[in-house]
Parts: sequence; structure tokens; C-alpha cells
Amino acid sequence: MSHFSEVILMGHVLFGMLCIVASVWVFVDILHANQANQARIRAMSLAVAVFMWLAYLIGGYWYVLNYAADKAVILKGPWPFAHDFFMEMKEHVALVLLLLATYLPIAASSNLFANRSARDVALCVAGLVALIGIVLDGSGAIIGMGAKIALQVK
Amino acid sequence: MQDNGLGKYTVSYGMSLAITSLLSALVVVFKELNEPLLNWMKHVTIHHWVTHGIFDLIVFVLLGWALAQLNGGAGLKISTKNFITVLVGGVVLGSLIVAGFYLIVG
Repeated sequence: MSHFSEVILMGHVLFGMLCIVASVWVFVDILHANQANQARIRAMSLAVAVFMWLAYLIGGYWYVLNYAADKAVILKGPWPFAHDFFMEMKEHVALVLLLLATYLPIAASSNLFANRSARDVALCVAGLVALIGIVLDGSGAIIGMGAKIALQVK
Repeated sequence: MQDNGLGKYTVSYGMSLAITSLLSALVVVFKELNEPLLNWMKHVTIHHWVTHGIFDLIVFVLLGWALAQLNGGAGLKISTKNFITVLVGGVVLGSLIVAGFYLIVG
């Protein structure tokens, strides 16, 4: 029995979590921006974008090819809102998060320690990536729970 | 308008991000309420969500590039306060429109 689908899904969660952790790292580093950590802020901002793209591409691959079966199970179970609200919301807000994470390296490319305006912009973007990432991560957990509960009821 | 010391691509792609977030939310509403549009998006690629994602990326990249060409190539001029308000407001409002739509209609 192949577990390729499950491994793919775990990869999606892994890179999503790494994106959140890296964005929190960037947020804290920007709060203490100086000449010494500027290169690290830029490198970690790029890491946020790379992790988000990997989470998006891997999750998108799984969603397009494998989600239909899970969706049918969830909708017949006691938690249909796991799909009707959480999955529908997650798949579309994720598109905004992808653009936000892609924008972070652009926002962090300025001289953050010398430019207050640039620092404020990068801080807002890193904070939004972390907050929206946590909301989507929690939504993913509810979707998984919706499928699990539906299968237990069967 | 005032010079805020931000790079022109920081401003242009930030504005593009805010506008694309709102446009993306409107696409969600229109495609879910309009069966022919949803079917068209399904047939353009293998899935309407893939088409939606490609649309968002194209709008984000082209709009950011176009806004950077304004003012003779100097890009948009906007105060930092207004820029952050538009950037954060666009992203948050776009996300809330999507969530609110599925909360009510879903």
C-alpha cells in the first residue's frame, strides 16, 4: 500500500510550519534591526517565500489530485463546515498569503536599520504572514479532524 | 504626496499586493455565484483554483511592474502611513471578504 498521498500532505504541513516559524524569526529580527542582522533578515525573508511556495505547490498538487475523496467523506460526516467554510476559505486566502510571502523579500530589500518607514512596512508584512499562516494552519487541522470524525462515525 | 524613502518596487508591489488581494476576493464571489464563469475557469486549466492562482500571480506581477513605471519611472509617491494602511487594509479586507462569503454562502 502506497502512502505517497499522506507523505505529500505532511510535506505541505511541514513547509507551511517552516514558513510561519521563519516569518516570526524575521519579525523579531526586524524589531532589533541593525547593520549586523540585515543580511540575515534578507536571507530569512527569502526563506519565508521559498517555504510558502513549496507549501503552496505541494498542497496544490495534493488538493487538485487527492482532495475530492476526502471532501466527499467530510460532507457526509458531522462536520461538513470543515469543507464548506474552512477548506473553501483556506484554499483562497492561501493565494493572498502566497503573494504576501513573495512580497516579503522585496519589503526587506531596503536598508531596514536606517529607514524607519522600510522597517515598519517589513514588520507589517512579516506579522501578517505569521498571523494568516497560523489561521490557515488551524484551518488545515479542522479539515483533517472533519475527515477523521466522519470516518469514525461510519 | 511625499517621498517616504521606500524603494519604488517596495511601494509598487505593495500596492499591487493590496489591489490583487481585493480582486482575488471579488473573483471568489463572482465565480461561486456565476456557474458559467466557474466552468470556464475549470476548463482553462485542470482546476478553477489553479486558474484563479495563475490569474492572481499575473495581476500581481504586471500591476507591480506597471505601477513602478509611473512618474517617469520613479514609481508611485505615497506617504508611509497611507501606504501601510492600503497594504494591510487590502490584505485584511480581501481575506475577510473571502471568509465572510463562505461563512454566509458556504
